[in-house]
Amino acid sequence: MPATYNGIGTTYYGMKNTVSRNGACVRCHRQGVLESYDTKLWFVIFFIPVIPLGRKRIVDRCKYCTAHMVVDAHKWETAKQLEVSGAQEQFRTEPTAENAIAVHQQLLNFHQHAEAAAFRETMKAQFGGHAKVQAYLGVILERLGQVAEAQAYYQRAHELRPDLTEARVGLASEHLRQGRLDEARQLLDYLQRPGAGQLYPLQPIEVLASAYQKAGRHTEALELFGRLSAELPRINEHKAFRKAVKASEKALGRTTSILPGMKFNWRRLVGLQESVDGSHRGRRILALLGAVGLVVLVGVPLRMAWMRKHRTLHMVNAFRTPAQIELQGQPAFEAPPGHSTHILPEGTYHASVRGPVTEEVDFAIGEEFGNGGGHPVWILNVGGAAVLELQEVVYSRDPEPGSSSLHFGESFVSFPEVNRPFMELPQSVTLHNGESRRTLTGLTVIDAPVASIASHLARQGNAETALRFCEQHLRLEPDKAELVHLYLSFSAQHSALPRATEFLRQGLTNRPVAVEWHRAYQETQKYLAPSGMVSLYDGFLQTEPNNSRLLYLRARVEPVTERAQALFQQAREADPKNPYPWFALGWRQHSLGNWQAARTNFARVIELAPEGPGFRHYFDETRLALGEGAAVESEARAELKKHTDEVYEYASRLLEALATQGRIQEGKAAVGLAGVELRNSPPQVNQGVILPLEYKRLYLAAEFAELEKAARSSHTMLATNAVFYALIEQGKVREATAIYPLEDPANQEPLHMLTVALAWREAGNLKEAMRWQNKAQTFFARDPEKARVAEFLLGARVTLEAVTAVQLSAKERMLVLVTLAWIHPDQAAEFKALARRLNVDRDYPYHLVQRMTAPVAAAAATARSAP
Amino acid sequence: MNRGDFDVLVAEVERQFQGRPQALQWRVALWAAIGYAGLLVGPVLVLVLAGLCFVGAVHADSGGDIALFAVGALILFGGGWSVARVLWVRLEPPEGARITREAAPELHRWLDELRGQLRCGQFHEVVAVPDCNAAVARRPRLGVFGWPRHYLLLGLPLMEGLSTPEFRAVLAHEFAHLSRDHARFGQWIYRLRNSWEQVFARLSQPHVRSILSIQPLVRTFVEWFWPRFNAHAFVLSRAYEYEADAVAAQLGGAPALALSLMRFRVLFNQIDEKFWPDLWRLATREATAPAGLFMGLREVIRAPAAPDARRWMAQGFQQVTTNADTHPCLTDRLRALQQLPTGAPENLPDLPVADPSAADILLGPARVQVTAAVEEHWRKTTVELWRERHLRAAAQEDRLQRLATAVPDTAGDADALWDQTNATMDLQGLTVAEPMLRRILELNPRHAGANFHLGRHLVQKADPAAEPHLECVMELNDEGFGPASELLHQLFRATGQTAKLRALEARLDQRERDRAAAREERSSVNALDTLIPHGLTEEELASIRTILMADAEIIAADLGRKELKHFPKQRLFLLSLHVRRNWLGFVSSDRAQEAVNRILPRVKLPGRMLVFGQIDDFAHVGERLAQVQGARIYTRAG
Repeated sequence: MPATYNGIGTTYYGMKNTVSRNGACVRCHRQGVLESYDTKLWFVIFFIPVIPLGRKRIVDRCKYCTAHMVVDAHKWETAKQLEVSGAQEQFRTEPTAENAIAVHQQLLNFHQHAEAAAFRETMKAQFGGHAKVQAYLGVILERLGQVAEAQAYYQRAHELRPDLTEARVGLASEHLRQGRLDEARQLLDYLQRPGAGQLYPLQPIEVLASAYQKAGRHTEALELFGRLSAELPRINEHKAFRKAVKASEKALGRTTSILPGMKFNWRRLVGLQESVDGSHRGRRILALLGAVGLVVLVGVPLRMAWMRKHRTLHMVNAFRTPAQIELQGQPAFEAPPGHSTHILPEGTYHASVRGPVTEEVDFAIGEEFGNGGGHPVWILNVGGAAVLELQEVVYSRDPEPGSSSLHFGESFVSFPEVNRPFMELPQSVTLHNGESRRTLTGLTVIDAPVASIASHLARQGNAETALRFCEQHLRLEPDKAELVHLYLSFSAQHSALPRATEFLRQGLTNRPVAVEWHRAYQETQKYLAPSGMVSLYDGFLQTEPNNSRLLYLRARVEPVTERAQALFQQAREADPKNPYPWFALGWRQHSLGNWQAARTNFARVIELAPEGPGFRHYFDETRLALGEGAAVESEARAELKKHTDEVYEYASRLLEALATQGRIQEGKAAVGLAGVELRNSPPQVNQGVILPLEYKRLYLAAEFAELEKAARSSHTMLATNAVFYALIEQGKVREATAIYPLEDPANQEPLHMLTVALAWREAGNLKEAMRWQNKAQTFFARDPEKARVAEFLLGARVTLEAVTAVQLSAKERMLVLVTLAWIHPDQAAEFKALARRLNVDRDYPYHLVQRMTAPVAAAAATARSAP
Repeated sequence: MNRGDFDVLVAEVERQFQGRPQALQWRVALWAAIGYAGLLVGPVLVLVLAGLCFVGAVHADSGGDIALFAVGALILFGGGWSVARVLWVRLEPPEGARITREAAPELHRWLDELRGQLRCGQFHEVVAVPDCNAAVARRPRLGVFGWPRHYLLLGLPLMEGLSTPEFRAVLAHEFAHLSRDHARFGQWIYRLRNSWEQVFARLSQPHVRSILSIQPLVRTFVEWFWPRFNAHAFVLSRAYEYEADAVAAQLGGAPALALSLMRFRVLFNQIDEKFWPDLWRLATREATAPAGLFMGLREVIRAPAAPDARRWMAQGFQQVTTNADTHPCLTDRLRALQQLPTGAPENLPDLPVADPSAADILLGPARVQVTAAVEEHWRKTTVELWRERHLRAAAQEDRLQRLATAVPDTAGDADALWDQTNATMDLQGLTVAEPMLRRILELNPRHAGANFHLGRHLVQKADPAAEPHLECVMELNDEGFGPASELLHQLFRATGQTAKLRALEARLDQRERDRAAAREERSSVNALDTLIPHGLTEEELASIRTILMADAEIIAADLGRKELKHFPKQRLFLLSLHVRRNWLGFVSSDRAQEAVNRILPRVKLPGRMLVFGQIDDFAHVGERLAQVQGARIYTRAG
């Protein structure tokens, strides 16, 4: 068949010598006009004929489905002429009826209908008295759709030979068409004789019986069905025949049937028996079933074998660098950050993991879950660092609770049934008919910062899991300050400090020295065994005397300030790239208000470790103290746009820079800027950042009444703090201490106590002031480093040098100095001056300190402006 | 390989191994080995390929092993199934009534004794059959690979017609083929050939049910192998027929065997021409086969039928040995036994009735039961056939009555007479219909049907007058060629016309070879055909020229003929028309075809005719035709 694609290909053009005839299409079997014609086959480009490919004869083209036969026009013409002329010659030589029929047949074979019609006239004239020729012409004309003409020939044949069966059938057909059933039956009486089926086809009887049945003449129909049943025993097995017989019997109310019972036949039962019409549908169905069975028989073991050879090992890498994984006897492959897969046959493996962690993992795939059923999942979790969440969700019309579990810390885990590995479970599913509920299991990697996950776990109230998670990750990242602090915080909150201490102690000998780990450990030992710490680090230094980190850590536990400073310097010299000694030295200058010296050290710290814990905060605070507010503002604005995940930090710094420059009225715009950066974040994240910023702006702007009002609308810890700060700054100290029970051990912090004491002093309640000051003194006394402060607070004479010699932070020193200024009025000016110099952190209790350290006139003015 | 080629091959084998039976045995063994090897190629190939795939799967890397396993499974299941389907040929066991040891102890004792004397193996079953024969049937359990079950088939007519010594001689011949004492290898080949003959016949049947099948390959092998093996085994088997005869003669005496062979000729024809036709004629009257039909068999066999018996005996002696059967003809076998009667066959004395018969002695009181059992078995297998035959007879009677009413005098109407004859033949047989057939041929001597049936009737009587009738059928149409030639073959064989037999076989071979070519020759024309002058007279040409002159488009015409090799008496004319060229100087194909369409209905030539213009492929034929002497019959003046 010619075909074109986009106008290129082959197609027929032209139509000549067209001959039409009525007939049934060989493909679609529809009755209609079939056309035959000569045409040319062309190779076409954009439907333009380019190359002729030969003349063709299209034979019997169906106008409905276009099916047709094609022969070379040359061959067709040759065969047509030779066969027709051959038959004609035979007829000329021997003008018998048989030869005349042969000529006519040849003409029809080659669609020479006009010539055939002309030849029929010859036959009519020459064989007008030949019954069989007349009957033949009748049959042919009826086939050609010329029913009326056919009848004339049938009639003539019947007149000549009344016994001629072809003529009788032809005439009977016409009677049937006209509804003259009895006349038809009379003509077909020879077919109703016993044994007729042995000589003649009985199809006309079947047609006649059906016609009687349609006419409602069931008695006659049954008589004829009975003849068919007797003559053709096999027809009794034919469903359609049985149905027809039963219909007539039912119409006549017959209780007994002429049909014999159907014999049991297992071949028919399975559809193997050849049907009456000769088709082999049953065999084909059986063959199909056999093929399906074979496919299943072969396919299922193949599928299982294939599955056993193609198990998916899921790999999750929570680190930022790829991990190299080498399985024994196989080429190494990479596990990039995130989720990836690797195909392996079932078996037992030993994996060597290199990269972010180094570990050896033994695992087995497939064996524990049997023969390949279900949806098992095997996961290689690099370093056990990734947190996997296995969720089981029940979908039903009535919501049912699901379950979830977290898995981390193990380098290899497997689950027997996970429907959606590393895919989100759908929000809803469509249940099938009769299905009331469906359970799906999903497995995902929790993609969030470690600290966030740890905080989340702690908030969920699963302290054990949170601590274990922190410990797991601290083993992997022991210098992660944020995590160390979280760990300590969780430990303190959940009375697990001994556990934390023990955990941290075990890692002290690990090398390289994890400074944050050691600092955390030093925190746990601060109140317990300070002297032991000195000897501990001295011991470390004996083996590693030039280890900068150890020198730094040793300096941190040194009780004598000068010696500590000397050790910090020694540490800095041992490793100038170690940011911690630089920071310690800068911090010391910062605590004394030596801003320029502090700035120099902090600048170096930022160069070495810009992301270090608190480094940026101290550096910027120092710069603000030195009047570099514009620069800090500019940097904060730039960073704010870059770091959408640290919006609070940079917006907060921006607010501080604005406040330092006296432009806190622009704070609203800065908070708005943060809102813009968070526009794509979830609402809870947005509120979690914007509200604290707003509280901060109000505090920096000294709008305490507004702050109190804004914060009271919320019930978060942050809002409670904000209300507390607002009340203190407004002098509502009793109200403040009422909503913030500082007596609660969890909240006990000497600086807060000193601040409340100062607030009481400002409020003129000396009794309460002394009570809170004594509380603070008690806490200072517990800290070996700050025991001197406790002595100062008891009223002993003190010099400014003595106060500056104590290791205190700038804020601590500031509050101690303000308190001492009240205790020692004679030294008040000196103490207040340094305290005011140190009051650079604009957060609470900046305004309180500012008021209490203000010169007398200024203090009075400030007090008046306060609400 | 056709009959002629096979005969040549057999003759070649006989010449090559003349006097060297050992060499022939080895050659046949070689062919048998080739046969087994060829048949084993399929299964072995399947197993080897599947095995290679499975071995590969075990040693392959991940991924490839699954593919290999899948391919292996596919080969094992698919290929195995395909091979098994083709090679698993199931042959139904022979039908008949089992004669158990309990039912006929004397027969079995007698058979045991005979087997013992010939050291012949056990038979799985002894079966009484209604045929006039005694044979050992083998039904291989494994198809082409053998492991047969052996059935001893004892024809009831033979037992009733032969005396015990004669029957013993017949069975001794059969048992000799299974004997362990006599040319075991040769007998194995004999049996193998018999088995393969049946199996390969089944394999050669058209099989179109499955599209994907190795059957064409197997058939190709069988078609190549079987004639070659058969030609060698045939020569060997024929030798063993003589040897089996010799063994039987040694055991039971040559005269008894010779008598049994001669009596067999008479018995066979008596059953074939008398008993069965008469029995089936009963079906025209009786709706079911009457009881005790086979009880009459004994009487039929013993009834004096001297003229017929002499004729059948004479026919038996006229038959010649051919390569259609390993058994030599009667004359050759008797000659080999040195029992060939002297004098003309028709002058031989009538054979005495065998009384008591072998059935009387060997079956004893069980004879009646065995006969009843054979009849019952026959009745069961023919019940549907009998019913159809009876119904058909009724319908034919009705047809005859209607015909008599419609055409009271059929004597002058060949068509009506033919219908009447057909019904009569069906009802009363050829003998009754013979005058009617002859009357039809008087009206239409070239009536194919009448010639065929009259020829058939004459062949049954071994009448050489059948030949022209059958020759006429073979000339008239393709459909009748095969059956008519078969009858003719039968006639020549029965009448001992060896020369005509060879000529007929050669003709049949030639026809098989040329059938497609002959058909093609008369229905196609191309430039490679041999073209010859038309050979028409000027008068005949004048009418054509008149037609051509009347058509202004035609400027010239060439006429010639295609030389027909297969139908030299027929003529195939080629008329090439030259039409005016268009203004560009080209011949327009449409214009040329239109001219052809105009001329074609008007031209009449004494034979097949192709009229064409100088277009497409016809242009080359036209060029060739123009070169034939005297081809240009017309050129337009001016």
